[in-house]
Amino acid sequence: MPTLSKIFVGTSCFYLLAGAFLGVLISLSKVFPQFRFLFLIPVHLDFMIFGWFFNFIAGVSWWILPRLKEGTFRGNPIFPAITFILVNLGLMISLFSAFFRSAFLKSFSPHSLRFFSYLLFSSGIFIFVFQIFRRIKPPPIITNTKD
Amino acid sequence: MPYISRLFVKTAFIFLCLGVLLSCASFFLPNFFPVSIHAITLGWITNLIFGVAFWMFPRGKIKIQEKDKITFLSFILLNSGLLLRFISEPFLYFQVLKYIFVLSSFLQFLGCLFFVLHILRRIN
Repeated sequence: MPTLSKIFVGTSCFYLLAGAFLGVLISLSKVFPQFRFLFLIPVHLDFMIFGWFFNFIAGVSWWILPRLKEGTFRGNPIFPAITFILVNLGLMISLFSAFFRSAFLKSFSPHSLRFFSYLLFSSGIFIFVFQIFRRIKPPPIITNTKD
Repeated sequence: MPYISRLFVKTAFIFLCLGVLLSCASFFLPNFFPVSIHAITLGWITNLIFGVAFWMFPRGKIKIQEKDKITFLSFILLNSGLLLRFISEPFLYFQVLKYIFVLSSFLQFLGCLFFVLHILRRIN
């Protein structure tokens, strides 16, 4: 398994745990009004969809999809590295944007910050899709030289 | 394909069927909407990922049993948590079910934790 895939999968595990923990906080808030964590619902969604599903699927697809150049080369690792940085930066900004909604920081514009995190997600994902598309190809034709 | 992976993948497809049924039901009973979303994201996708990861991730020098205890615990906790969520979340107006709902989210968190404990050994 290449290092880049290990980083993607390790990070996805972190987001799985963080997202599930936010889920516990949100369920407590749904039941007991003294817990006020419902504002974290968008972060819970982002952590699970982009942090867990996307990071995991990106890591595994970088590792397992057919390689370029007769099975030796996975492609330029700069592109998935940029994807990793953009998506995870977007996730961090998504987390911070949730806290900017609280009363003491209302002067910030939460929607624009949240929109910025989604711009980062989409640009990172576009780069990854552009890179991985070349690797989705039919298996090589194997000719039997003995015949 | 190891036994535990088959268990995860079969459960994943059962939850997929349940998820689409609950999605249809949520048009008439909006209380079922959050449950249907969790049936698809956790019940289907996450179970499928867990099963395939246990099957396909590199084993290296680690000896992994067919019925690995940590992974089995992860399966039990995640899916029992999901089932408890199904019976509690749409009916939160009952006092007892409120506690079951909170318990269900704890169980799901623990299920994820046990999976992460297992898989981190495999990617190192």
